[in-house]
Amino acid sequence: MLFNPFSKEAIKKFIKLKKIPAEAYNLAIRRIEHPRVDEKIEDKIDAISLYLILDAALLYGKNSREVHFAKKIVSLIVLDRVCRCISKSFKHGEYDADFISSILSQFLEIKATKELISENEYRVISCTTAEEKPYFAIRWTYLLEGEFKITDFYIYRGYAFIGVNALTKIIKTLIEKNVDYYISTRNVLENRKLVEIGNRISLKAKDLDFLTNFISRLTPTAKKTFGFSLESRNLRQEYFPPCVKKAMLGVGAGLRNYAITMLLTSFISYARIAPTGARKNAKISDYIKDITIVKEEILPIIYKAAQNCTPPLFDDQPTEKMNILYHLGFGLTQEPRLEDSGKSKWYFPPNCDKIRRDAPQLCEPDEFCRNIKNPLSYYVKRVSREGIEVEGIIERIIVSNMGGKFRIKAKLRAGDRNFFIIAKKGAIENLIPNAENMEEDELGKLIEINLVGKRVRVKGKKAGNRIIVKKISEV
Amino acid sequence: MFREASPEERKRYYEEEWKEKDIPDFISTTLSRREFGFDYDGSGPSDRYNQFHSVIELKRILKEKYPYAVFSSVAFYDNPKKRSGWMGAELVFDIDAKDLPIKKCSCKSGEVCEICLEEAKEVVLLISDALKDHFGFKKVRYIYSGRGYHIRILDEEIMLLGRSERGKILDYISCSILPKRFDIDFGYPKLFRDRLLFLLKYAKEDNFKIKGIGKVKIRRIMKEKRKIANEIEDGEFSTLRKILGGKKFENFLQFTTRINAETVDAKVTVDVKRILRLPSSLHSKVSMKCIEIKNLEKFDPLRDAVPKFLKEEN
Repeated sequence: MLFNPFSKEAIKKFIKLKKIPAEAYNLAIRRIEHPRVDEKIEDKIDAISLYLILDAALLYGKNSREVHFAKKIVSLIVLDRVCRCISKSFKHGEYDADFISSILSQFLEIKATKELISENEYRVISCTTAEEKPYFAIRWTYLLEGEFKITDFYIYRGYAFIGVNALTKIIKTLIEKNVDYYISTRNVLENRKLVEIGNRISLKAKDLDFLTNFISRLTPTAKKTFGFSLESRNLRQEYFPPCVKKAMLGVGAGLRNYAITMLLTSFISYARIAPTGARKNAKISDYIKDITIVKEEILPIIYKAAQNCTPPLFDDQPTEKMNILYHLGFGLTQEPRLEDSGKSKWYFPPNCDKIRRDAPQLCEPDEFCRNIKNPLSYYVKRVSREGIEVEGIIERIIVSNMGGKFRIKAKLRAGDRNFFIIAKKGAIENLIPNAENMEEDELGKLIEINLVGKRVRVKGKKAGNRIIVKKISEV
Repeated sequence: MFREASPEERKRYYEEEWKEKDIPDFISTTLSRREFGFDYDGSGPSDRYNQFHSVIELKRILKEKYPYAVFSSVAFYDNPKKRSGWMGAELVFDIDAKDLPIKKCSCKSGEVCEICLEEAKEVVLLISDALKDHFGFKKVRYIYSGRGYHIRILDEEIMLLGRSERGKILDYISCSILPKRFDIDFGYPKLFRDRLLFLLKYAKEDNFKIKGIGKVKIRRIMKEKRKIANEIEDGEFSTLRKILGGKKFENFLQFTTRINAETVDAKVTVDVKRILRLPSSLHSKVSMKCIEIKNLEKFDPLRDAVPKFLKEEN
């Protein structure tokens, strides 16, 4: 199966086809209209449809919003496919490193760690070097691609031993690099079919809900790797108000500073750190004790949105990065430090009427905006109403009868996180028909057989690392 | 020893002692891609942007002008005369004995002696092991620069790295970041512990100027140095922790990262257009030869890098 349609070999093989198959055009359109990331398609059609999406976007220029959008969609499709394969290989608490290495060799030089070192050495580094098991050995130079500290890894004879999380981050960077390379080398000639795809891309790039819907279909690992999986970090992007979503997709030249520095910076920081608001003159260090929340959770979202602007905000205004930190209350600095928190004011998100006045283009209210006065209240209201949705594998059933009442308590593994889910009989109706009417002993056995090892999506309310589940459905 | 060479001595060196074959292969085979710079009076390399197509051309300049210092770039250019068309650069680590932050000898900053040159060599050996064992570099060259050492990596995979990537490698090699764990007997934690042992071996009491740690505690550390070193070798820090306590122990470790960072000149590593002293040339400030080292462990600068005119004088 083709995992990397943007490898030099794949491009060479498919791009020179004299006639582009009609299925490829159709698939490109389908991928723009109703993205399904897990389709099984012939390699040739799959690769060409992705090239067509990028080629069509290129008709609008290399730095256009359409190209930014197409790059994102294409990269997500490729990464999601990789993530699905990785999570499918997870069995009995272990990843199949040989299998994963074989599919990812389309992207980089990779081996299973056990191939390089003895069983004993592997055991030592598995329990000592990293938070995640270092299943894979890659050339150490790949670590330079991402934002890794190479001192955090065990590097041996030219290979770095890494786990699944670091690996997917590296794969993401490589996909983006490959896609960028593809774009930089293309000279696209206009034709009717390409224009048609381009028109659809242009429309979708402006559609606020499209990307949100698309992202919601991705695997949790792909979401997390792209910085979209905000639920695990207490941020739920799908519940952001329309003005914030619009700012995140990137805006044009006249609106950039307001959208990124004034609105997004304040909104993301408060939504993550103090969603229900803060007392007057509060500073970030009153709420957090670890600056990595700012560096790794808040700033990347803001910087990504700044990059999505046309032209990218920091390209012509590099000092705006300092301004963003100033608005977060760190004073004029290039590096946020907790001890600097309070040197300037931590700006609260502007009220809706102010946004309507200062940046009317951002304000496109939806049905939840009624009676909302501030974007932050919109977010809090929606999060509290909607609860949480997590996809993962049920690793074990802990108990199926709690305190005399029939309740299932189970351990759910979602990517690198574990949750404990608690569900009533009714929640498993989809998986075990007629569960509501069954005897408890009989149901207990069926639960063990039918749920353990299964990939499910659970929906419910979160309380710490527990989820009180209303519905469990199979994925 | 370590005195300035006179113009006559420089002339004699280049006329009688300097040989074309003293230029290492890795430079002579890429000569026309490198930028050359000259310092004629000791005020710094004022004559830059030079290109030589053959060693003969370079030889003529050296014999005619017997410069105070000669430099060649670590970078390769399509057009070295304009420093345009950058094609890549060697990865370099500069360990200067004169700038070592911790010295056992009584040299002032900027001076060198036999002892601090030996200390610099020890750092080079530590770094060298990591470069080969950890990163798997195959083409590592060592140059004695006259007052210290240059480690030059020529492996293809590093040639196109930019400043920030080189900075990350430097952080690792110089041990300027605290490891996540200390108790592992390989990889970065082991390298960090080795550097800590090196620090304990050479540091004097007054080298430890650490916030919140007074002279009494430092004296205790120095007194129990051997025990502390044995524990560190085993990946333990119990005695050091006991003497310093939690916060001060962290300050101590942070201090070691600062010292480690100062041991290798960061500017040289991250500069992808740097010019370095040409191996085979004379370091006229100290009258020492800058030469490629074939066997690092056996190398003795005071035996192998002294020019004839100085040997005869002694």
